[in-house]
This record gives sequence, structure tokens and C-alpha cells, in this order.
Amino acid sequence: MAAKRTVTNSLRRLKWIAIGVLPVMVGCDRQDVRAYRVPRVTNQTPMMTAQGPGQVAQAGQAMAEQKVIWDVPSDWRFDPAPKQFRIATFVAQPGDVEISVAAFAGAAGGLAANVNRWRGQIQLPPVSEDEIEETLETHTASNHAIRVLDITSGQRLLAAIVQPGDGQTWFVKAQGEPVLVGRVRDALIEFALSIRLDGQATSQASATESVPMAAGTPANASSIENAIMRWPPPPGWSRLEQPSQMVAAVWATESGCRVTLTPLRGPGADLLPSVNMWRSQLGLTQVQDPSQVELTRISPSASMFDERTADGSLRILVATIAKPSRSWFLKLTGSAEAAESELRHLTALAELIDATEDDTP
Amino acid sequence: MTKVLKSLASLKITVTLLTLSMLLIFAGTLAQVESGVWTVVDQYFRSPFVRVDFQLFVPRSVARIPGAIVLPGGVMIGSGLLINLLAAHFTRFKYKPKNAGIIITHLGIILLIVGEFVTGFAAKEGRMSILEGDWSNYSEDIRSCELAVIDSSDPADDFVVVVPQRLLERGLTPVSSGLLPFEIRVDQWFPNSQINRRSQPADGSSTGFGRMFQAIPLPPANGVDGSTVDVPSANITLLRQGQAIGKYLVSVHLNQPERVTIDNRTYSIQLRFERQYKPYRIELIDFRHDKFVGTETPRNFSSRIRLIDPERGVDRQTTISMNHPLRYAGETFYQASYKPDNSGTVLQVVRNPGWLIPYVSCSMVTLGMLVHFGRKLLARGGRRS
Repeated sequence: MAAKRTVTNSLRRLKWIAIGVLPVMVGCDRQDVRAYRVPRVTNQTPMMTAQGPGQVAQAGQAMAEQKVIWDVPSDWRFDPAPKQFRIATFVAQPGDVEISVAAFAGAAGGLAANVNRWRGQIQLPPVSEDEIEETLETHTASNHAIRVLDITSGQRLLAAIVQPGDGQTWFVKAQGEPVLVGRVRDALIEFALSIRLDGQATSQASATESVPMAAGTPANASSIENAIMRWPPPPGWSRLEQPSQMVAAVWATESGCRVTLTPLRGPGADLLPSVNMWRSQLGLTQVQDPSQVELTRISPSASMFDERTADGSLRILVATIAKPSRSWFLKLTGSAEAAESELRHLTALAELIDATEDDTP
Repeated sequence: MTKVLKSLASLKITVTLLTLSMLLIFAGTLAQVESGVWTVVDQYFRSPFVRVDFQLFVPRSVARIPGAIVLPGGVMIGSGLLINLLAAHFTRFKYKPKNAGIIITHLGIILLIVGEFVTGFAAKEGRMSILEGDWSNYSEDIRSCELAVIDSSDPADDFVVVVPQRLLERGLTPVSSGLLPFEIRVDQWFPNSQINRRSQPADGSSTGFGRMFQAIPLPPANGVDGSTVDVPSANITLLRQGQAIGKYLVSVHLNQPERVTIDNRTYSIQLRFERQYKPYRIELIDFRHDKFVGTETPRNFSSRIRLIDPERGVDRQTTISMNHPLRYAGETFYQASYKPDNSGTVLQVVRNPGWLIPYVSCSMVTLGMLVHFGRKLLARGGRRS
């Protein structure tokens, strides 16, 4: 009885607390429709977009949307294989010396940090900024200067630092056997001097061919993993461990096929190298002319490559989804029969990617 | 008045509220098995009342138990304890030097409760994802979303009208505002969802993505099965003067906005995580994922950033790393995560005006207890001698 009275009294007193608290709670829930203005600037990673086969390339950046172009020495070959953080890779003859091109916003972490990172790559100790300044050469073209670092320790590392005025710092680098790197030195400096804003004059009278940068540039757009989480795999597909950083996802299908999803930065204008790679995997002859490449349109930005070996034992289906900021390659490999059974699923997933992937450049 | 205060200061109320708070914490802990931690925080601890299903206390595999009880939520209990303690100080406690320890302790507790209110109502958290070489001037709160209606007719600015999630999930009456060119009726709300392609295109009543895709409801992300973020979707109808002008599927999954043209003006409509725009921007110069030599064990994560604030004339570089956040303009930037291929960073952006209160209040409680028990100890020692 006493306990009941205690509880009743407590509840009676609690009502005063409730009266005091409720106005506070009512006042707290007042989220409403609101409006604001935001400056129209695209918040995107710098993207490389090709404008046409074998022509001028464009470097777009959120802060400074300026075209950057360059002239490639005629004996350099463009390497379409995507590599992390690189805008382009070239291979120079003789000796297959690899030349990398990269660009980062602003001062890209500063001169000393970059030079000491390169020194570390050939087992040289870091040095002070003053010592770095002493070792850097300056080369000038008609209207701008570049800095060149040439250091050797077992391997030779040759790097040019260019600020063409697009708000980014560009790096052109070659590393390898001292003799071989020495052979590309002049061409590399000439190439670095040719990096400029579109419309700016160049001193390179012998300007050679310009190549598109987009094809094969690794995807660097926002949250690849988040993007994949949005796309539920078709029934019977099990996700496997990623074999490399370049491949965003791998699935095994119940029918015995293997499916990979690879993102690439930019719209992936030139498909010919990729098509020839898939054809070579099927033992088919290479094609030279883009018009010989047969692709079936499956949705506004998605097309399907479909080829098989002569005996039908192996079939490759690749859905390419080309968006302004990022391209996706959804590739299925398996027997002709198994691939046929997965064609519907592959098409549906490609359509979903096309619908949900960002259309803005 | 004194009678009312004495009533409110009752120790019986204190005991009742403390008992209810223990029950609430117990129920809230169990609720996290099926709901995400932030859902539970909102439903149980930052709301006045909470409906607790009896089923919560018994696994479904053992028995099915219908029914529920309504308990006071954290707001009610916290407010009650605050009022109870304040009333006790006005009526019962005597402010004498010998009570200094108790009074300091109680003031610490009062400050702690006030601090939680400040955090609950004023703190904002968000994530800022930036890729190397990229920049950002907004953070996203991945715990809530908003429907953005964007008018891009101005060549310089986007005029953005946002409808908060709280209005969308109510769903019954169309959302209308003088800021919006149409009314928005939410026909179906999916707190967590995935998008699937339809086997057949939807009937003619749906427009845009909704014709080919549909949202499928998913259980709330609870962090246990690998899913940590709820991704909402909704089927909405746009109305003008009560007449439907189109049915749309909107989803945080969909990166592309729907376009709606009204009176020769095109609007983009997009459901997205709630954004907080900043008057400054942050550029990511370099993200480092250092490992112990010869192993894959992470040693440090750090982001070298450039902070540009034209309003304050700030343009400087700094490094944000684990346990070394950046504090700027009332916000704290923590190194929270990174992109899968180390191509970028994810910063946790926290604005909490009451961040200092727990430190102060806990120090006060400690000091109060030291004073109180120290005094007792000294008095006891004195009596013995």
C-alpha cells in the first residue's frame, strides 16, 4: 500500500516536469524547407577528356578550366595501360624507356617534398631545399621556364616540373638505366617545354603529333566502392576478392563465368586498343580501323562488345559505359553457352550503371 | 511556488527517473541489434517518448510476443533529472562550506546534462570526401538526406531549395512552400533501399528513372552485416494546384538528377545526403597511408591539405592526421577514412559548440568528490588523533 502511494506521488510530481519539458521539445523540432545559392563550380577531380582521335587533349580542372596541350615526339609511343595518378604514359625507343606524365593541383605538395620523394625512389637521402635549388636546371622556351632534375644513383631519374598556368603542377618523369634515360633526356625536356595552355605559342617548331590523354587514364572520380555498392549484382553472382587496384570488382557467376568491373577516368573515347586487347585474348586478328569495331548500343551511354573464339569455347562480352567523368568496363569471360545465359544479367547491370552514374563532366 | 518546487525536488522522482533511464539504456542497447546506432540514438535518447516492443526482450526464435510499452525517452528523462536537481538545490540544499564538494559535484552533473542538450540540438557532423588534387566546400551528413530542387537558370549561381528528410518521411500531406515551384507528395518512403531494374517498364504514370528502375526496401543498416549507411529512396508525385504533373523515383543511389520543366524553366530534382556548405574550401594535396616497414600494417593516415578562406584571407597548408585534427572556424576536421585505392581522403567534420562541456563537467564532478571525501577523510583522521 505504501509502495503504491509512493509511485502515485512520484507520478503526480512528474507531471510538473512534463509540463516544463514539453515546450522545450516542441521548440526543438522545427526543420523546414530552406533555400540558398551556391556558385556554379563543378566539384570534380581534374579529368582528362579527349576531343577526337589523335588530336588535342584537354585538361579540365574545377578551379581553372584551362586546356593544356602538348607535342609528343614522333618516336614516343602512347601506352594505353592505365596507371595510378598518371595522366599519360609514353614509351620511348630505343630501350623502352617509360615516361610518365602527372599533374596535381597547386604546388603539388611543394618542390622539396617531391624532389626528396624521387630521391628516395633511387635510394638517395633527402636534402634541404637550398641544395635542391642548386641541383635543378632551368630550361626556357619562348614564354615560360621549366625546372629539370637529373640525378643518378644506380638508376637515373630525370624529371621536369612544369607550371603551364592552369593552376596545376605537371611532372614529366623517366627513370631507369642511366644510359637509356640519357638518350631520352633532350626529347623529354623538349616535350616538357611544349606543355602549355591551348592557344599559347610554343617554341617547338618541330611540333609533332599530339595524342589524346583520356584513354587508359585510371579512374579517379568519387567513391568507386560507394558506386559499386549501389549496383546489386544479378542473382547467382558472387563477389570475389579484388585481384588488383585497377579492377574495382570481380564476380564469379553460377554458370562459370568471370565478370570484372573496371573504371577509367574520362569518357574513354578511343576504344580501339581495348577492343584489340579483347580480340587478342580470343585469338582473333587485330583491327586497325575503328569503323571495323562492332558494338551494340544497349542504353544511352552503354555499348556491348561481343566476340567469341572460332570454336566457340570462349566468349567475351564487354559492356562499356562511357560517362563524361568516368567510364566503366563490365567484362564477362566464359564459355559461349554460359555467357549467353548471363547476357541478360550483364545488360541489366550495364543499364543500371548507365542510369545511376553521374552524367556531369 | 515553494510547494511545487519541493514536489519537484523529491528524491522519489530522482529514483524513478534513474530507474527509467536504466531501463531506457537497456532497451536502447537491445534495439541496436536490429537498428543502426544512430537510429537508436535518435529514437531512444534524443526523443521525448519511445515505443518499446516487448519482442525486443525476447528473441523471435524463442517466442513471438505482441505489444509494446511507451517509455519516456532521453529528452524527457534528462530534462526531468535536470529540473529535479535544480529544484532540490533551490529547496533542500544548504550552501555551507561543508557542502561545497556536493554542490560542485551536482553543478558538474547539471553541466553534463546541459552539455548533452547542447550537443543533441546544436552539434553537426558530416563527412568531407576529397580526392587528391581535388577540393570540396561542403560536408555531407550521411545520417540524413534532403530533396534538393535546383534552379540553374542563373549563369553564375544555382538556386537550391532543400526539403529535409523529416518532412519527406511524414509523407501524408504534400510538402509545399513559397520557395518551391510545385508541391511534393511522397507516395512511398524507403529509409534504406537498393535500386533494381524493372523486368518490364512501369506503366505510363511514372516518369524518368522510375519507368525503368524501382526502389526495393532494405532493413536499416545496423553495422553488423557490413552495411553502415542507410540509403533512402522515395516515389514522389509533383503537383501544381493539386494536379499531378509527374511521378518520379528519387534516390540517394541515383547520381543523376531528374529534370522537370515548368513554365519554360528547368529544375533538377535530386535526393542526396544533407549538405552543409562552408564559406571556405579545402584542397587535398596529398593523402598518405604509411605502413610499418615490411608489413601491410597501417602506421599512420594523414592528409596534407590547403585551406582557402577568401572571407578571412586565409590560404595555408596543414596536415590532418590521426589524433591531430584541424580546428578551424568552430569546426574540427578529423582523419576519418580514405578512398579504397588511397586516391583520396575522408574527413569527419564536426561542429559542436558544446565540445568543451563534458571535459569541464567531469573535472567538476571529480573535484567535487575529492573535496567532499577529502574533507570527510581529514575530519575522520582528526577525530582519531
